[in-house]
Amino acid sequence: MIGRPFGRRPLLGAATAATLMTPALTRAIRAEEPVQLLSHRYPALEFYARKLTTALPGVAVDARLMPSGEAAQMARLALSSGATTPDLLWVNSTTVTSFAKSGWLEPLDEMWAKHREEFALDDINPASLRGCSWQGRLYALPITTNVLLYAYRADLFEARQIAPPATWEAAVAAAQVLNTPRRSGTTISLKWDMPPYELQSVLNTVGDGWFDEAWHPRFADARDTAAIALYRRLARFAVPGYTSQSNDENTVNFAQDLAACGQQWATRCAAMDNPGTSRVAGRIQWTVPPGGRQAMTTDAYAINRRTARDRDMLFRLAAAALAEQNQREAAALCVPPRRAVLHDPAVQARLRWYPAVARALDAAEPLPALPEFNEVAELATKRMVQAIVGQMPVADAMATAAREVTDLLAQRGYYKT
Amino acid sequence: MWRFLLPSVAVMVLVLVWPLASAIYYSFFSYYLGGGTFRFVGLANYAGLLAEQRFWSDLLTTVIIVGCSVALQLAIGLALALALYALNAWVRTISLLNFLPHVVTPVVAAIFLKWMFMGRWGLLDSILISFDVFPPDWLGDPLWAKASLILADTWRFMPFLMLVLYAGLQSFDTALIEAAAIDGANAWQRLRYVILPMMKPLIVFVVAIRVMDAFRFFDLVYVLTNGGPGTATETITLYTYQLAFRMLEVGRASALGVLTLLLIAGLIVGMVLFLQRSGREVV
Repeated sequence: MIGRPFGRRPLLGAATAATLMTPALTRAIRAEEPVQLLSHRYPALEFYARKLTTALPGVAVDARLMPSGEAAQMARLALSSGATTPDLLWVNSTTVTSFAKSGWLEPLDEMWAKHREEFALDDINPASLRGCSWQGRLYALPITTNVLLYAYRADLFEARQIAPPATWEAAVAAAQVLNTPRRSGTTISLKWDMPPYELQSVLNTVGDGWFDEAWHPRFADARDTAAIALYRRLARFAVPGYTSQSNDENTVNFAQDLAACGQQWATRCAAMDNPGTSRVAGRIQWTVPPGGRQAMTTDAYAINRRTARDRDMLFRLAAAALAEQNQREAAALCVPPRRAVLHDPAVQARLRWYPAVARALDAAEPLPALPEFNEVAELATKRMVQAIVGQMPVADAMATAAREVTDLLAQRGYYKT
Repeated sequence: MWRFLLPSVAVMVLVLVWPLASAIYYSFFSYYLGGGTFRFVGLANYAGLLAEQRFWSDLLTTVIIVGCSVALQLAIGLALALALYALNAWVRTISLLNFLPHVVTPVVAAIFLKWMFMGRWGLLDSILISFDVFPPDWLGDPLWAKASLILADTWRFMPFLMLVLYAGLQSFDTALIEAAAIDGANAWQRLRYVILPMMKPLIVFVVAIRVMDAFRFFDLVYVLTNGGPGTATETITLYTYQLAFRMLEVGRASALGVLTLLLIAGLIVGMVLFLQRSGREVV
């Protein structure tokens, strides 16, 4: 006779015990689960993702890094579906307003006040904090404040006795003079799956900017139309393929000696002086883009409002990763939000583009703080690019952009009297 | 017996019927993901899309790209299949090498192609510049961008057509071709009056499969041009993606998805009817 190894009662008892223990077990497992980070990938953000993994003892971090478009899209999908992960996520000045308006981000004001002294948070640049705020509340901790610079080949400019351009009209003239079959006069990037950062300066200085005070687009105005017409002339001297390129390709074009000048993010300057990656190491110089008022953006860490993790721990984790020592280490990769690092003479002497960065930050202007700006950019940039490549007359394209953006914002509840 | 069907039916319901039903359901709503708006609007999303110039322009772009790339794939695929059929040695090696582009992961293939088409430092430009030829703007000029996408799609999918047509050729009765040769038909006449009529149902079948597939054209265009410059290479599927994931308008994106489904279903029905008729003619 074969006896039953387990009777019904012991099995029921075991099941009951397991059920009772489940919450405790889940809590224990969750406490040991790594914090999920979703971030855009470039060297500075990769550096901070690594720093996060050791920022707090006993807190593991699982970082998922990807290109900016994919990271923003994945974050949007996760947050809009009410997912509890990612716990920490990368945002920038454009996405933070949109996510905050949708109620997806944890406001950080109270935690900021609580940990102000512990992490020396008063040292963080107020301009960087503006890029992390919406309607007066703070929603993210700034990692880096990036700003567009005008990069140019000092050797070529000197040889042709050209001064760095003070206006966009002069920039077109310089690009024309320096344009050769083997090296383009300029490099531009107008891939429109991201905000049109490179058009910001020309729209603000030649044109009247994006919107009036009531968020009515100004694209159809004569000055904005003239700005895009000017950019169309500039594009004739640009490295081909610019409609499928992002600003990283500008850096490649400079490094491969294929362009004489163009706009470049401050985070890409270090690569220009590396002989291992650049054929023109030491020959690039930087200044403020013509007329200034160019794009700046803040990359930052925000906390998912629905996270199952302890919010205070997540705040401390991000704040610890942004310690002054880490920002000193990362100074070659990005513009540090901490004033102690940004204005340190030793850092400025070591990294030769820092004086230009400081001037550029003073001259820069963030993209409009409109939560729907990504959607606006989606419509408007497409039309502007159509004008620049000659697919549409400039005036028609700008009028179409203005009409489409007005319709969109009206649908989103703007312009109600 | 019906219990054996349960797992596959369950999977079908989960991955096909449910998402399709959800898309149809959402297509009747104004659903904006960014603000949580959710309001019944009936057929307004469909009417809005059909009244949009962008929808028709994207449809035309899709038809141009699909039409040109499938025609090119068929011409090259058929020529290569016939060449392989005529070969006596190295057939396996050559067909395997030809098939390689088709087995590469689509996004990886698209990235390869992007590095080939990239302005100035891309492979094509580097080669042309070394011969002092000023290359065109492959991805930045509206016309060249379309041509580049057609070439890229042909590079990816021509091997599929070649292999299917070659397999079809293998199954034909060679006696008919030999009889035509004995009757004095030259190579062109054998192809025109014997081989092609025999292959007609197969050709219609592979073209139907490719057209259905090409209408869902997304990965190559997303990586290479993202629909640009402007809207020069924006296809219907890319517009659907942009509505859903960039503009966050789930209702309109769902309506566009349903419209695309109806279009493809119409194409399939047309092709099946044509296939049946051509099958009868051959018989």
